[in-house]
Amino acid sequence: MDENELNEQRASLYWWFATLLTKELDKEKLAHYFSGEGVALLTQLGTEPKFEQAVAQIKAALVTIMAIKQPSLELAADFSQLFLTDAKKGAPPYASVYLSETGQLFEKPHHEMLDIFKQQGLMIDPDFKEPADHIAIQLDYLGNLIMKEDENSQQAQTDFIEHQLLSWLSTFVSATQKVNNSGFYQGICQLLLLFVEQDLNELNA
Amino acid sequence: MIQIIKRFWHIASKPSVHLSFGFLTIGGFLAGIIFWGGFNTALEVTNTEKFCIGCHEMADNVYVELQETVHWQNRSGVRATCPDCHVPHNWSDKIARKMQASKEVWATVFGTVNTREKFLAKRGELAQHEWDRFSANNSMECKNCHNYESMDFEIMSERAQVQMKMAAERDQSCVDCHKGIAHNLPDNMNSGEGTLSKLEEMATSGYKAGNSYYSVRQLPLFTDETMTTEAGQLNAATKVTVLAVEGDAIQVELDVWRKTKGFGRVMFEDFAMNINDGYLTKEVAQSDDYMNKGETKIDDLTGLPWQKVEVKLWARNGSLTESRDTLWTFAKSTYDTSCSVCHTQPAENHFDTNTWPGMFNGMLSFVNLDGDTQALVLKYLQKHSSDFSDEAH
Amino acid sequence: MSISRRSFLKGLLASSGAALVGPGLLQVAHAATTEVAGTWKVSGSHWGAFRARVYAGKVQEIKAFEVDKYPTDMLNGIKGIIYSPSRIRYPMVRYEWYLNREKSDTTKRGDNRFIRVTWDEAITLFHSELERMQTQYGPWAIHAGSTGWRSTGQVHSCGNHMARAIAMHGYTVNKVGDYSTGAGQTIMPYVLGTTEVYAQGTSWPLILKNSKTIVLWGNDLVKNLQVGWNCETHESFEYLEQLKEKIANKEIRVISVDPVGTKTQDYLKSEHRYINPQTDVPFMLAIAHTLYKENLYDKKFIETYALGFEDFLPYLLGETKDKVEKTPEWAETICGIKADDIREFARTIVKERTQIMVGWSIQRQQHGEQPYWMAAVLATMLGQIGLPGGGISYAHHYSSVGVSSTGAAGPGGFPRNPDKPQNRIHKNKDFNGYSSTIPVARWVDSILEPGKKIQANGATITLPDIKMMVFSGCNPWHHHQDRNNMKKAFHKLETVVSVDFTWTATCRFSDIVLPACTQWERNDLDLYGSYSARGIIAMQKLVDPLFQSKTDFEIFTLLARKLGQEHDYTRGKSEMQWVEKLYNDCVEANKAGFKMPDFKTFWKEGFVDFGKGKDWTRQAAFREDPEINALGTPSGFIEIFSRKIDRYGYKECQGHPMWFEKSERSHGGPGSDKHPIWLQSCHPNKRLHSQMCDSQQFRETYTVKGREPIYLNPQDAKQRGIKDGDLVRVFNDRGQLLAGAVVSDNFSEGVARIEEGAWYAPVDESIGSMCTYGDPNTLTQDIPTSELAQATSANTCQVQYEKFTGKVPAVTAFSGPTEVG
Repeated sequence: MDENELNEQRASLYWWFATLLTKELDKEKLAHYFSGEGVALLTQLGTEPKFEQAVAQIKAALVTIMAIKQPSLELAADFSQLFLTDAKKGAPPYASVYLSETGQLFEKPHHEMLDIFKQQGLMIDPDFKEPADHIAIQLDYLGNLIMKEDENSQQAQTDFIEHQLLSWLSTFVSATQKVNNSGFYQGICQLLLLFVEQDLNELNA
Repeated sequence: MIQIIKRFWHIASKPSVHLSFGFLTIGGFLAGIIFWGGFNTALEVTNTEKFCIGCHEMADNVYVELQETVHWQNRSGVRATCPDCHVPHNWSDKIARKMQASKEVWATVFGTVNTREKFLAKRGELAQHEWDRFSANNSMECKNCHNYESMDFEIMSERAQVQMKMAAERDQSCVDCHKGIAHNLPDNMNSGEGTLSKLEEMATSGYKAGNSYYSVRQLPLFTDETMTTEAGQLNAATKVTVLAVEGDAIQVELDVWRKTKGFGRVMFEDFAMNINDGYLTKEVAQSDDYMNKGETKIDDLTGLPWQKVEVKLWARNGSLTESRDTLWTFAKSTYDTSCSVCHTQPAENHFDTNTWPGMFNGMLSFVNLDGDTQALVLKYLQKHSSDFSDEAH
Repeated sequence: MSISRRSFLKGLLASSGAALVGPGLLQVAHAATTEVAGTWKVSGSHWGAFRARVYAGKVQEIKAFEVDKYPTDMLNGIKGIIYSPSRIRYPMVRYEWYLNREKSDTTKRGDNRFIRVTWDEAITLFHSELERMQTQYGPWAIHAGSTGWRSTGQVHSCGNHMARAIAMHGYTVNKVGDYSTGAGQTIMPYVLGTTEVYAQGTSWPLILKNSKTIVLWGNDLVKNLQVGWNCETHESFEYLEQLKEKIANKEIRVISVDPVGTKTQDYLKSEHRYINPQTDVPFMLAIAHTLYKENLYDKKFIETYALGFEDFLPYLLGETKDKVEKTPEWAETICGIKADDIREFARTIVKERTQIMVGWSIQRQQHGEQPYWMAAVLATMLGQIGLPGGGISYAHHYSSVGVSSTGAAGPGGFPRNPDKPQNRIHKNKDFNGYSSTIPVARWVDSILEPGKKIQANGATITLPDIKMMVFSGCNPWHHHQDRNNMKKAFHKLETVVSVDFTWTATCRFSDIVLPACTQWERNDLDLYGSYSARGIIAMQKLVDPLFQSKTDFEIFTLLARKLGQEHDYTRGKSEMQWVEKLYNDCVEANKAGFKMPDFKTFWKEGFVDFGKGKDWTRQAAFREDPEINALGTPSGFIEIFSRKIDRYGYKECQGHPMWFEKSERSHGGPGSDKHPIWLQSCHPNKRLHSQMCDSQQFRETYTVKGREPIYLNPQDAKQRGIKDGDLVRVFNDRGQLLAGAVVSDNFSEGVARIEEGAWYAPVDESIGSMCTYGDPNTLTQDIPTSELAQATSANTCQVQYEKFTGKVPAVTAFSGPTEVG
């Protein structure tokens, strides 16, 4: 496995997390996690000892959901409960909520992301209509950063992970833990945190 | 550009009366802008009446018409000259007006109104131009002599009092109502814009004695066919029977009720129904010459005595229609549009006839309806109120 | 980076990837923007006009519009509305309802999970429910009679959009009246010939020049003039400042008749005439008695301008059924004002020019028609109606009434009625024997007791069997009374649809919730000064609609598209074309009197100034000629006795104003042994009803331990061991709430205040659960004022309170869709 291939895989994983945290899984997409590629991916991830527990939680949640009449709806309700409510009840996926004094949206982290995009000549898909410090946007950007052919890329990745992502990721992930439902997204978030930490270690090593 | 200015300047400096005023005005005007100091002087010259009637379009048309009016000859001996009304007294507006006047003078040059016929054909447009200006400056020139503050309402006729006070409250532009006061009106006035003309369009003509008609708007009433003495006012959408047609005048009969508390001036369509049909002057209301009195009944819901009267008075030959249907269609659409800005308008039959005036008054602060339309819409609502509606509500 | 250290990634995505990874969220930007510090834009609101600096797509800073010399500090709450955590971000549907539709467990309403749906699905659901109602039931099953204070802006006025789109689909139940002035607007046409409550009043300069005494009857000008129906100008405050000076110079006396010390009184440093709550009528009757007995009243005025005084006198003199003469001594025992003080008050107001200004609070109580009517009788006896600085008004506290009107026309609105009613999809007008229009406050009764017949304003109303409610920019879970009763009613509803920008309790108790954007995320225009018509203000969009929210215009255009009538809905015009059209129509309407710039110039400059109007005296025309300028009453005169009302035969609103004991009253009145404290729920000082309660930082400037304040009398508080800043449990047999104590001398013994509009935040969905934030309508009773108006009686409310000692529950409001528990 060469460097390029490796980076493709890293980027793909960030994009995978971004996809899961962008919107609810429809019936078709969810099916991949009952049998098929999703299962394979989770199984593979589960072989890494650090990830074992998180993957187990995700798998257990999938089993629970599978037993429900309309699994994708149940999971959509979980998603909503976690990410579409506010900080009191759920875990809004925006850095501003955890990093700003007021706990409101569109605060400094949002502007920092906008500044980054401006420098890079990027913009958020106008149909997505979310603040720039949404977790999915950050992960999407990180994936792009990894794929960028640039000798300073590694440093940029480290900086981004340290300053933009890990500054709030663990608070966000603990916020998801207080919500009681199937546990699928809590598992995904936990896995994300562990992956980012691991990845940073590798980058720094 | 320099060339053009030079040319204008050259022409304007010639003291020739034969040259078109168009050139003089424009030339003088531009020169004034360039040589600022000379400007006021030039303006003063063009402000005199002599200047205005220097062209025959003015002298032969509007100037002779003016001489027939009270603005030419009156008891006070004060005469209004052309620039009193047509050139703004306010300095800055003067300039704007001069610019506009140039168009009319240009027309002279190109000969578009050089005959009476051509002038009459163009009068509507020219008049509208002036009316717009009066509208925009709130009839400032009129108010130099006639202002609301110094009006003595007491010595006005009652009809005038009502109208003038309403106008005074809104500081209304005089020319809104007093068009054609110094010159003849354009023919075909009714094809213009505005509610009044919309209403007038609904009027029919060729009224026959013995038939019944409805007024399309509020109309003045007179004591006899000479139409010199006011007798009151007919309300919009009011039923009258034409008794006689005498040229410009028609004699009408109103079959109405009135309350006898007070002077009995206000006429209502039916017993105990506050549907206004108009009002009479004090003199007419208290005279037996214009009405036959019928039965008197007490309205149980107010305790007031009501009297049936047949009133015979004169009105101008016009502004009547055979059926109220078109008036109601207009009223309904006005009500549905104007009265739904703040909230869903109540259904017509949600209130009874005598509740509607109170409810309608409450809404009036929020809509922009002129007097005729207000009267018409209120009558429409009353005539479609729960008293007249079979529909369960 | 070595391969071995990344062993766990080996072969990870060899077979997967494409199926699991969605499309990217980032694009290459088209062009770099050059903004540095941002752009200043102008907009308006109920709280006034302002300029806002927008930078990087965010509102950074707000400052009052320079024409407004007395801006309210509520402008500080505007940013918090836009960026509130309570914003509705996506179309949401109650999960349980989504699964089971009309068979959903409605007892779980308010405590259920929501799922996000696409706009397309949300509109499809909304439409299919309307369709189901019309086909399965009929027009009587849908109530879409939104009421209340929308956001400002004439193009996007939410009620108009909802009404137009829904009317294009079919007929629905409608309402008459409103929650603020229901009793007043119904009784006053019988008495003074217009609704009075929304009428222009005598201009302030004439009052300042002519009045010797001003009586503020239950009327807090300084508090209530902060907000306006259209964009507020705050021009009245200039006159209040002058009034303050005249009071200091002893040129004018201002007396507040009120159970509480008001903000106005604190500001003006004026006099307070304390009165027991809900006892205005006995006080007024005793004043009338004094005027009559001491022969001080204006007989000639009554003779010329009024009817029925002789039919009222026997009641005043104790010659009717009740055999009670309405003497000051009799009144003293009820209203708590000494008999001699009552006489002195009567002599004061009749002696010189007196302007009586009545507020709306005294008609928001049981028999609320009576004090309004009786105040008009008093003013008639004083004989000053129609004189500058004399007579009576019922609206000087509202939207700068009393600032003279320029007479300019304001912009119209987006048309509320369909252009082609004949194209309505469902033409069925059969209401199945039910009434198609109900008094506004009786919709909960309709749900709970369909088919019940009630009397209302001379008609018999059969309450319809409502199955579906549609709300837009409307929060009945704030403005209606008795939450626990409402919960029962909502258990009976099959479907509830809400359109709003913020998660009000109404949204949380709904099934389909559609996110509108705020008024600052759209282009619009508004009248500057509801009554003064001071000008036209541009409402330039500050930022694009946040998240997936849309303008009301867009939302209901989507519904119209479902009906196949998109073009008939929009008339083929875009938002900006509508703004321009309304402006140009306004230019046309003002052609006769006011020069207005072309649209482009207006939009750039943001404001057209019509200047100041001319002073005006209310009822002067009537006074001058009562025959030609007759009032809109049945007789055309002031009706002290209304034969029309008398003939209705109602028990609680008879032929003339009367004193009726209340179902609950403090100071020895019914129910005061068990619940001794009168709870006043007046209009808030720091909100517009429930609007701006979601503005977090601004809310925190007035809350106590995160709860809505309850204003308490020092003795009452002390007796209960409560200190300023304590949490208080307030309760009666209808409900309970938590509030934060503010102890103040402005509140007399037996009197407490919680301002209405505090968001409802129950511990859970069960009936009787405690409101954790302090919504006073958890405690109020849902009873009509009388058979006449059937209006709300929020101010007839007795409570008890105690220091809260248990485990403090978190505030459940100001959250997105979530279980409240």
